[in-house]
Amino acid sequence: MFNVTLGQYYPGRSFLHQVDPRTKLLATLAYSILIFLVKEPKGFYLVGGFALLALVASRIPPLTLIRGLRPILVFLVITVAFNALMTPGETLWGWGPFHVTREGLAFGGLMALRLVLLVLVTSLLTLTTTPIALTDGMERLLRPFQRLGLPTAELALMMTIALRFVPTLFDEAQRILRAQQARGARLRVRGPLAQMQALLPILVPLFVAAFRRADELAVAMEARGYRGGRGRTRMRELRYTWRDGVTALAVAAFAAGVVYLRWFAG
Amino acid sequence: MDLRSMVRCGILSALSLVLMAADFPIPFLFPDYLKYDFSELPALLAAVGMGPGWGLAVEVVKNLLYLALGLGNAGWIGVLANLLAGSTLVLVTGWTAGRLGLARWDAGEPTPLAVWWNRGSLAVIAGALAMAAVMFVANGALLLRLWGIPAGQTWHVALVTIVPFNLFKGIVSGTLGLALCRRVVPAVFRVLEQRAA
Repeated sequence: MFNVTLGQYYPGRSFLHQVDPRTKLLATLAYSILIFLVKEPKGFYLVGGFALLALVASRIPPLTLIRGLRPILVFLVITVAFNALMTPGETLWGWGPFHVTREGLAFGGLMALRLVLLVLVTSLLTLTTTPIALTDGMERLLRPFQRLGLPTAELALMMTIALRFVPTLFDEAQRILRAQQARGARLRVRGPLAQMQALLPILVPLFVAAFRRADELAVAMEARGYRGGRGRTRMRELRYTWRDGVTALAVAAFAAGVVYLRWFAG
Repeated sequence: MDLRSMVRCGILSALSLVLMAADFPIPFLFPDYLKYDFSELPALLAAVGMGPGWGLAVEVVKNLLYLALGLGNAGWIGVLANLLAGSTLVLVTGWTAGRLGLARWDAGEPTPLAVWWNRGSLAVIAGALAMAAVMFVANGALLLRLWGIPAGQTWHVALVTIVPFNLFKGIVSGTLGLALCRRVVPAVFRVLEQRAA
């Protein structure tokens, strides 16, 4: 009932593994925005080429990456089907009111490709960076928003605590599930209302246990004199290296290419 | 921000991630990609027990971690949609429940069940409606277009799929969330308050 594989990190020491998490986060964000500016088939060589470059720089086996695409298969089929049927143009195949058009199929294929590339590049980020490094990177990148009242230090603390307690609570959930089953709890009942009621004997102890752990941790932190974010030093320092410069240049070149194709190429 | 609420918020976010991975036998009303999960419950509990702001914090932390762990199968579009839907549900339900006096867990006697039914259903319906409305606009205007649905079709598709799904999800999450709040929140807070004193 509960299965969680925490993080996808694929250990390695490739170029992309050693790029600073902040650079990788920003690059992924830039790619995810730029990919929506590309409208023409020509531009997809550029977008695909950049993804391929990132793949090579990560030394992740392509099969591992492709396996990550399985969950979006439904989306891909829907996207292609929708576009194939809804775009007017030269009919390739018709059945009743449905017409698959050449233009629709081509456009749907591009849309699907865009989705695939988007997911691939996002997975490259999580495959080459540990969750802890990513949360660190997110905290650093959000820090400028502190002036606008965003509590970044507090957010980072909450994220770190959450990350540490996922496996613990996962075990707790398994234990409660088995304990209630041993007491004769029936989970597979019919009817939506009955199902919701059947879940309460598992959820209630799970939440109570979570709160107990939270308050124990809070007391422990207070006892050790934790006083929030101001002036705290960090265990892991993030530093930019030449690799970040190279990545930034590559992203900048890619962005220039996309902008050129979109607005300046005839 | 006091430390204890922050720690509680962090652990509730962890619970969100655990519940997100749990797949419970829910009747198959909707296709797989509009999957129902229970990850909204901890945020609802935080919103009712500690205030809507904390509910929002749980949602933000949950979604940032979702991104960091690479759990989102659709990258940032899915996370953005989840954040938008969850925050709306949690804020509206939490705020309504607070206004209707359901969040007063420190009053001593637990609120009678009838009160929870009457006022709770109001809060649940408000939350579900708000979530469906926000997701209808977001999907129609932007999200579905990012998925590659043709621009002219997005509002229609949103009305047929997104609205019923979010109403369903909002009502199930809201009902379960408030049922949990009634049982968990007073017990937890009172016992821990006493232990601390």
